[in-house]
Amino acid sequence: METVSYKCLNCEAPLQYNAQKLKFYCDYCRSEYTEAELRAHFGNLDQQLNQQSVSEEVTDPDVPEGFEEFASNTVMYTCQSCGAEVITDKTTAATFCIYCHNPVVISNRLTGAFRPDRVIPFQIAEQDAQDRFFAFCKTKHFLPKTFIAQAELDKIKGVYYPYWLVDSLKDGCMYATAKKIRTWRTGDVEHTETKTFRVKRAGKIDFHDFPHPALNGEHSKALKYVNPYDDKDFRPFTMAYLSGFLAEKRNTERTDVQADVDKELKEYATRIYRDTITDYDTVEVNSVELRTLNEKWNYALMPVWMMNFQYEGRDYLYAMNGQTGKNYGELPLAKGKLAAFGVILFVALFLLSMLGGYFLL
Amino acid sequence: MMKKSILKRTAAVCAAAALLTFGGLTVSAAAEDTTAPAIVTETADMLPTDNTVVTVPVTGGEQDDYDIVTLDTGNSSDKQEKNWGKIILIAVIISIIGTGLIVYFIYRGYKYNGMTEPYEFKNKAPLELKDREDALIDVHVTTRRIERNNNN
Ligand SMILES: [Zn+2]
Ligand SMILES: [Zn+2]
Repeated sequence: METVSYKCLNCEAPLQYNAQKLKFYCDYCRSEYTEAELRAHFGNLDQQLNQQSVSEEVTDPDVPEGFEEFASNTVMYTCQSCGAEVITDKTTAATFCIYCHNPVVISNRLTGAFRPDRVIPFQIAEQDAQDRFFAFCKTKHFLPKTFIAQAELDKIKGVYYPYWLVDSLKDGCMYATAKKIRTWRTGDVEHTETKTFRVKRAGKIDFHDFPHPALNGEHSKALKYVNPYDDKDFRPFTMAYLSGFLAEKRNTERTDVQADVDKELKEYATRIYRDTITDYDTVEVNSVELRTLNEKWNYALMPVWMMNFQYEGRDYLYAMNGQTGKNYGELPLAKGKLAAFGVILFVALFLLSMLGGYFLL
Repeated sequence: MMKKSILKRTAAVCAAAALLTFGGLTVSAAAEDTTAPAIVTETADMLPTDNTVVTVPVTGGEQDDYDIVTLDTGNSSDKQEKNWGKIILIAVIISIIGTGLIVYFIYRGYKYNGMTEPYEFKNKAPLELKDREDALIDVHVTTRRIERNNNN
């Protein structure tokens, strides 16, 4: 059994990381602890567990010792607090006992090669995330009127998701064809001069912390567009931050996603070189060559609020960046409202066009 | 922040409307101008230093200039009816395209709400430019004769 529960030093109740206070908080006796205080008490638990797992050489981190493999994608463990048998996914790294709500961190999944380098702790608390979401909904004019009143927030989950953060130093160049167009008149004749240039830009691009979701699965789009995160809240990884939240471990290796990252970085490189080509009327990129001088991959956990809504029989998923509040997801659209708007817009455009035509007659 | 996005959207709609109106004006002006300009196209590839413009006027279409002038001075009510038909057609086309685009963008905004740039490459990926080259390889001049409408 390799689960960890962070318990209050005063009353033994489970501790949770409180995003508003930025401290660990006990709901029962209201004690507060800083990360340093916990570390002092638990005697650098992370490091011990890490060394232990390295020396044990866990062969399959998906199914840690003492866990029974249960079906194909789930694993079972016994709750330390109430003794119930709890089922988790293979990628779950932190969760709650569904019976006694005791927060638990499955330490095997966060040690050895799976130990994250960094973490951004949640900065937005659960209630705050919900309030922000509904405030945001009030500004969306094509949401169904009844949505805010009727939408049932099925569940809101605070999840630490795994990301690769890639530092990559590239050297390369871009070739492009650019044009300058000038027109002038002499008498009744209009002249158009087109000057064509061959443009080359070469130089090093130092990509820093390029994020790529390290969890393959259904939410990859949401995980991409809750970015960007702000560097300022990065902390060296400590398991205690996960206490009271859910966490997923990565299920990709660098080799699985290297090609995707290379492709994305090339697209960004193209934009970066392209942005230096100014003062032309048209620019057409012909080729981009890029080679990697140096690359380092870091593994980090980032906070996301996942909200599931039910509205008129359909499920909606909305993701919110747990640090900045930036959100991504699908919102229900009032099709009738949009159609009415379309009709009004059409009439307005038609009248404007006709007015234009009339004045020139 | 939310107010800003509404302002942005409104501004975009206004800009689109203005653009379409301008488009409508231009196109209806073209529809009205029955003396279709005799388009002259003669291209010349030249050296960058040579600024001489070669102009060879060619009358456009199968019609002669005189035929077009005759059309212009023809029955004025006929001409007006014909123009209204064209203008209405063009206005309908512009309105359909404009409405379609705006409605589509609103739809996308709900389906993929918050799909914005996920990587701040301007801050996080600095470029150290080593080589910058802008070589002129071709100069190309086209000329077009503009017909004057003497009746106005
Ligand atoms: Zn306590
Ligand atoms: Zn339990």
